[in-house]
Amino acid sequence: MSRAYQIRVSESRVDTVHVEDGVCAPLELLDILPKEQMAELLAAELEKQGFEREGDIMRKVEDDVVIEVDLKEGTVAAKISVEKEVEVSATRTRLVEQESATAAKKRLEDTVQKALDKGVEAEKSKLSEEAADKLERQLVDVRAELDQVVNTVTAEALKAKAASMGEIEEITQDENGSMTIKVRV
Amino acid sequence: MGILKRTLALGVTKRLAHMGGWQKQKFKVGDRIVEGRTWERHPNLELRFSRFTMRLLRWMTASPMNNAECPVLKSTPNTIADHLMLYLSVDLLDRLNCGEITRQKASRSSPLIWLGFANLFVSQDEAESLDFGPWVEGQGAALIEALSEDLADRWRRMEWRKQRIFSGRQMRVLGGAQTATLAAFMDAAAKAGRYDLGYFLIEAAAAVLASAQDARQFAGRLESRGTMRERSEARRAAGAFLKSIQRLGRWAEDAATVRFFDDEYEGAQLFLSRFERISEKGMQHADRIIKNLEALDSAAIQDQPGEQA
Repeated sequence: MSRAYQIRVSESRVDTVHVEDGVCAPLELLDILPKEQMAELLAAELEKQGFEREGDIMRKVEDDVVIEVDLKEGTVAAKISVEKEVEVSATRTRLVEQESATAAKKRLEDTVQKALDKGVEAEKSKLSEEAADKLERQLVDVRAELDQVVNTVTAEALKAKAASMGEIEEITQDENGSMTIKVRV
Repeated sequence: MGILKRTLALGVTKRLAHMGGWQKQKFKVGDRIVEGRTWERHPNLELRFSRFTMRLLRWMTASPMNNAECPVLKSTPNTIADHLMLYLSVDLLDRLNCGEITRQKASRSSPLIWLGFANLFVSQDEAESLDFGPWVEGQGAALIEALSEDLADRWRRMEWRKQRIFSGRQMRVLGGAQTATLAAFMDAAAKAGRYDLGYFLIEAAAAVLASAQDARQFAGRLESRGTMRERSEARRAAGAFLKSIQRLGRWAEDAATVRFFDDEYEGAQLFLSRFERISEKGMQHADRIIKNLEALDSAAIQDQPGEQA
């Protein structure tokens, strides 16, 4: 009579999971002045808000979220990149007969590997959710900040445009953001 | 065969008339604007069916079209009339929830099917190589004119259904299919000078914009799961139709610059009069909705009842 054995396979794995997430949107800046001039006004205003310039890109990092404004394309991107070391483990046991012990052990090892892969995927999923939550929390504030920047740049551009048309006599701005520029042509 | 010929001749013609061909409409025929029903504007319109139509009918009668074991339809349309027959078949089978017909190569490679049923395809790959050339001239254009009312109704319903879509993936696929189909169609129409073939888009857009208060109409039920990129792309895809019709606004701007002594003056004026259904106000409304859907934080906004999205 064949003997029964209990096979137990136990493994753990340490893996590094990396997730990235990001969104992109146009800035909706009007072409009041030539593109290059609008870009320079935008760069100047963004610098005041803590952005650093690298060629045509203005960059700022807040709470792991990288905000990039492309001065040439007139777009803004918010990105997050997170890496984490995770440890997963899995154990499987099975009762097998002596004759089939070797094959059964191989199958059990494959099952454990698949369980480890699943475990790593689950950790990656969790990290991805956390990254998305972090990015989501930042986005509303970033948008509000950039809306303010766009409004300021638009006002500056209008003043520059008016100045090029003649002599500015008066500039008034109300609390709602409406601006009136009187120009003597 | 005689019975089949007679059935096709009478049945397809009658169906085409019912779907909108009976209406007295103004379209460009040659260099003139002609008003009349489809057969009055195109008295020489012929519908020639090839073997494909016979194979399609055989396949429909013999195949279980509501399950995955449905055999492959090994034929593709050869004539304009074949495409029309396929269109009528997809319409019928869609109403019966028999989706297998849109998985067939015949449907996936037919520009007319994409134009009427972009929402039924699960992948937009084939939409990117659609050739609408045959559909903006001759018999193809005549059929588009006749189906104008039906197409408007389909695109209207496609947009109204978006407010029930929960899956971000489904919205991205739909938006991609809409964008690719309308881009190919409008490119071909513009190249052929047949801006009037876009009337169905004007009608659909007018109805959609009249009933849409804000972006919630298009993306209100989208899930909050997945990466921000996926959620953002889904919301952007929800605005695909509105984004495509911005091109109609540019067509209207061009039409407004056509002078009274130019050859295209009559056609331009007709387009402008039809475009009044949307008007400048409607286009601004569309722009606001698109801006909202494409905003940096669009996927982060949690809409509450009563709040503007």
